[in-house]
Amino acid sequence: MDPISDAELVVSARAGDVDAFTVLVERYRLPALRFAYGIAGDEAEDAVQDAFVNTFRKLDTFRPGSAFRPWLFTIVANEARNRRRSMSRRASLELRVREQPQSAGAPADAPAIENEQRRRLVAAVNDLADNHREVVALRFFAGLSESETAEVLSCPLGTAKSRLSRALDILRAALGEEVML
Amino acid sequence: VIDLDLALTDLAEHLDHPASVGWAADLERRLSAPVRAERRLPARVLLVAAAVFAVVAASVVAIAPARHAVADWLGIGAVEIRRSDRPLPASTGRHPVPGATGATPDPRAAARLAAARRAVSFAIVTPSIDSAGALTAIDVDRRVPGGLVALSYPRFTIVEIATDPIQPPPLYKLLAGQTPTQQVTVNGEPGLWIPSIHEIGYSDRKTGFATDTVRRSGPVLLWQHAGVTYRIEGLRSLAAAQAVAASLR
Repeated sequence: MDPISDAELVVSARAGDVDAFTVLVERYRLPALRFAYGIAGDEAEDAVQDAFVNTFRKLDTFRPGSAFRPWLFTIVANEARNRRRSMSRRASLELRVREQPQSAGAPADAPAIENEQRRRLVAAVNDLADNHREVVALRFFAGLSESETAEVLSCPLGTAKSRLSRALDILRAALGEEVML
Repeated sequence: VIDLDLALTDLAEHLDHPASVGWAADLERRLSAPVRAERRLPARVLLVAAAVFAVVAASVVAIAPARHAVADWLGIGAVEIRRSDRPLPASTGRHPVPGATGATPDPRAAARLAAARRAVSFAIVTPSIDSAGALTAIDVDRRVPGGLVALSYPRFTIVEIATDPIQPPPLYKLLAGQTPTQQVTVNGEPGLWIPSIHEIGYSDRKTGFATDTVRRSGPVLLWQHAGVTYRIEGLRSLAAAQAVAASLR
């Protein structure tokens, strides 16, 4: 059976059905958290929670027929940016990766190599300018399409594409020859 | 050789972002709450915001009902303040009490203090008394006009708040019940000593949401000098708090 669509859930949630909205929360919590982490670091959880609360309360302003996901991520982006602006310690904006433990059957050095690659990549992401980091987080951490990314960033599709392309060029340059061009 | 698109997608799966156990339950509580009854704020914001309105609230209790006199005395106007007749809520334990023992010194305290000094409009002072110990945390909130800084030490926290006589801070209420206060003199200025537990709250000027309340422990010594409101929280005796206040340089 197909899952209930965002549009159907929004209709129920607009009528005050918290459970329907909770389904949307479960659906988008993780990508929203990953995206917000890319912007606001350790304050991501607070930003996402505030974003969901504000989204729920603004549902009556949501235009029927429009896409829910970019609308939600626009609110998440605003909350995360506000958090970033008010943060007093730059260090907490530094993204980190979870170390992967050795798994049975894998080559002995596989986790170490993967961990090292991720550390290098996240270090390069940390060095990106805010606008580049944001477009990377939307596209790859949250998994939004190019058109959704443009909508969240309130810019033409071409601008979003060129910004992402530039961000990836910077990452490739930072990572050197290891990256497939 | 790695594919960058795939590597970034893989990275998303391995980001070490925060993931609190109670997040979903907390969100559900917020979604179900009346609009004006909640808004969760991180402990850091609560800490610094609490300092401001606790000053105001305590003053009102001490000098009420002369609200105008209180406003004049603090140089803060149009701040909604009221006393609560209901019991204090149970502590959620989410918001650490300033001055909690066991905090470790911040190795970057000097740099953070220098940054805080650049961020606020007034001259930050620190205790010169040896028993204060080393700084364990420094937090700045620029949303308060002129700035607010919270300096945490192993046994207490000092909060210094720019007090703007024109633009009221977005803060409100409250001392619960019959919380006692004592009018004192601190460094030659009028001040207040709140020796027992009191409740604090915060409101957001932009959204108008009434916000979370937490149960926080007194005692608190607070006073104002030259456009800055000072608050020392965590020391159990008035004499100890006065000694720290007198050593501020």
